[in-house]
Amino acid sequence: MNTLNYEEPINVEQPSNIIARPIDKSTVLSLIGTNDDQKGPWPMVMNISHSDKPVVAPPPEYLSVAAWAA
Amino acid sequence: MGVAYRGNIPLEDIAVAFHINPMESATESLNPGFSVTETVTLTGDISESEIVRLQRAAHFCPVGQALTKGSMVIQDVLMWSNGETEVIPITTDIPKLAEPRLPLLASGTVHGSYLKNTKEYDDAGNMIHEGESKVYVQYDTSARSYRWTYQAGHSSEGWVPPPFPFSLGAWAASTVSTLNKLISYKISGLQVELSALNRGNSGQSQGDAASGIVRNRQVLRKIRIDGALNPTISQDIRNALQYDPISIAYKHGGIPVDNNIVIELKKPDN
Repeated sequence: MNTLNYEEPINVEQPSNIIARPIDKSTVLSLIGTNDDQKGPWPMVMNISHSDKPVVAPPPEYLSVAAWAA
Repeated sequence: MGVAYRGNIPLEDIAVAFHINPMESATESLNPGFSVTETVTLTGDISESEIVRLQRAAHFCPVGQALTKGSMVIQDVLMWSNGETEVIPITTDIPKLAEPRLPLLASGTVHGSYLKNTKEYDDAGNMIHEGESKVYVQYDTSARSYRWTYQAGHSSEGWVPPPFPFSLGAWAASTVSTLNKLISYKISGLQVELSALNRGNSGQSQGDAASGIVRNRQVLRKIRIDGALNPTISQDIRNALQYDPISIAYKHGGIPVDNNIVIELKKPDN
């Protein structure tokens, strides 16, 4: 099990580089590189996993493997 | 490619295909809901020992480590819009999951091929960026197959996202998706944010990949919610997070990779 050093305070105000929010009931938008002032941000749309309903984008699990393939 | 370059391995080209094999997610045990079967195609005059090194590098690159070696150290924080925050302690307790459950993934493939012409060199001829890859994703539901194309990689111009942030983008979306599916009511203002607490660099990552070193990467995951701190919502979110598929892979040892790895060695055409 990975552990953190609980002695160190966590700076929750540090800017985030990845932001994800739901678009509607079946899709999610991720923005990559929101904290980079020279590159990006790169948007990615993903589907909340459904095995038998129409989708507009792959589920997040597939894009995590896509990142590995890249 | 970076590992091959630094190790003077004459790798001319590389392609990788992952077949996604869905698995039922259990409530008492943790599995990420899928395994992968990996096929790697290498082009070059490469020895058996060099193949072993490249094979290892694939599983010890930052994204490979995160998905298969449980290298991520995750600190979760709930942030309410009224300014209250809650740090979620890391726990091994697995709450029993009531309905609803996460739906089963459909099977499919992810195919990555290297764009050789995107490598970048400095004036002295040293490679400074490994370049970009094109990735085809196919998702096969019972109704039809779907296909999409993505690009990711390393370049000075930054036209495409680097692979590790790309993977984090998928994880953030997975978290949103999991919370939406497992919590029966709408979470107002839900937003998931990630920031790296210790950033690596390309050289270090390639060195780790070549040597088979697992390097923990610490990430702060903020979950923003509208309203004031609500213990019921907090507990529901904490429970649901335990079942997020990619979080499970990141924390508990990874996505199962089938041992049926086939390497096709092709001599370059001279």
